[in-house]
Amino acid sequence: MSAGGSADGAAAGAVSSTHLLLLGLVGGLICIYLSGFFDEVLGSVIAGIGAVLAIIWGADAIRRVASYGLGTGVPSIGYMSLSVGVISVLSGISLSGHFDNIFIGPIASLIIAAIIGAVIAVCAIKIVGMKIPIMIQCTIEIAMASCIAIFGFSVGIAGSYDMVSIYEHVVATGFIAVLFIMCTMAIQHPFNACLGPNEDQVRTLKCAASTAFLALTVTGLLSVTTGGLGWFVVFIIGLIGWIISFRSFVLASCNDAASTKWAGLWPKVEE
Amino acid sequence: MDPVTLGVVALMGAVESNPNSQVQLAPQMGHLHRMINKAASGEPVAYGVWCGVAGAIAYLAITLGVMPIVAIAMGACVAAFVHAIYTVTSHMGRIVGQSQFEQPLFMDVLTQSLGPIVGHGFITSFCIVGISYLMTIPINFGEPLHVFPIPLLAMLWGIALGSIGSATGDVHYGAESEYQKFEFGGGTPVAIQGDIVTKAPLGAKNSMDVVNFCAKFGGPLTGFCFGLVVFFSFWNTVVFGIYGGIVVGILIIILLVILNDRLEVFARNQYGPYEED
Repeated sequence: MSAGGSADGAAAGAVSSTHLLLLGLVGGLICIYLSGFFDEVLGSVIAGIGAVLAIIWGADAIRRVASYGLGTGVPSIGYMSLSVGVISVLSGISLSGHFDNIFIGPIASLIIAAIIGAVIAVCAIKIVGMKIPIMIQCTIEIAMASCIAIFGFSVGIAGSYDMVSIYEHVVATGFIAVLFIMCTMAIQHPFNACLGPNEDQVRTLKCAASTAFLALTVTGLLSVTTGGLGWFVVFIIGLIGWIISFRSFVLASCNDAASTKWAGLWPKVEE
Repeated sequence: MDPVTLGVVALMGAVESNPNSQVQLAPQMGHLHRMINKAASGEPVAYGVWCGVAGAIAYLAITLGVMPIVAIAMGACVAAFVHAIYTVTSHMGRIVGQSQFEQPLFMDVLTQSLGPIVGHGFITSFCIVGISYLMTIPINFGEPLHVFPIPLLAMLWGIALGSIGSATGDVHYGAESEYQKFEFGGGTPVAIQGDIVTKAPLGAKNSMDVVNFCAKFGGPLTGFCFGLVVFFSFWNTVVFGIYGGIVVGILIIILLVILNDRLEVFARNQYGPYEED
């Protein structure tokens, strides 16, 4: 049994990974594209929600690949994929500027992320010699999820996915670095925090939702200076989402624990 | 759970050999405990997040016209809040991940430890964002020292500090206290991992008992190493220029390698129970 939960190393779960993939990939991309059709306030919120969906998908992909005994490699694969995310987002919006068509940006970023993710995974398998059967698929998935997450939060701060706007409000201010490290944490923390023989997919995903909404809340704070009331709406939506998901995670943990105590010693067990 | 499975799980934890992972392994080894399991990611990422968030909020507040020191404190407050939330999720998640070994989820352990953890996080991110701010202000109304914005600098310093803490402080994070029943100097070989002491002279041993050791040795050592890194990096960036700096950098590394080697050989000969095969 792996730390993930099943006998052969692969992590089993109540929620199908295909559904989560669709939720993150299609849902996240649609949210980012939709944000362009609304005003700045609503657009920021929708793009932020897209990023949250992508983070939940990414956390599930981390869970699947890390179940093969990645150990301390969990933060590492998070770092690596998020750096792919940052590079692909910047390349994508630069391409959209080059072709003078903002609609190219999100999809180009996603394709670039998938390509770089695949190259990294092939290097990990062929050169480093890692023997994880789902390495390629999961690395691509995590890289794409990171890409959507960073793109979504960038749009959340800048208010649109126009190149000039993102460079001015996200890159020049240095917030891109904060998004990078914050999304790394949000994607790799849930499995890292919940691992153990009794790890449960639903509980891990609840944790993922809470870290994602926490990142959305901070993103709301970061967009204070971009003008308007948009930051407050993103902040409040993030806060409400965080309270709901965090509460459900805490309740699930208390229910699944061997026992929950506020004082006293541990029970006596046979060794 | 069959023995092979148990072995795999134990080995997975053993890959991470710092004291926190020992707390994680303890219930499987039959030692239920009242310690906090603050597995908030690897420290480089974690401190990157706290300091990055603090730096970003401070930057915004400064842009809005708040006095810098107040702005930095505001940023550190938000970062401390984020830190607290991540601590709660990691403690609860990891303890519940061990529930088949009858390890109870002690909420009082969490609430007692949360204050010191958050306070420590506040001080750290306040100092790091302070350094980052000082790096960006102009000296004598000239050019700013550094062209990077505060959030980026704060994140980079945060990652640097986390890595240093993880690399140098980790060995003093309390392993000696958790393994006090074994002979000092023997390290923590795989065979004894998770076999920690969970009882204090009176009642249960808690993380604050362990951290006393860390505060004495791990903290100063991390600070000392961080200071050395800043000191050495100035020699090869500011003092000797680009090309001289490369030569000086290589010299410093060679010197440090020799020094480390001499120190370790001395310490092993002096204190360790190691015997030549």
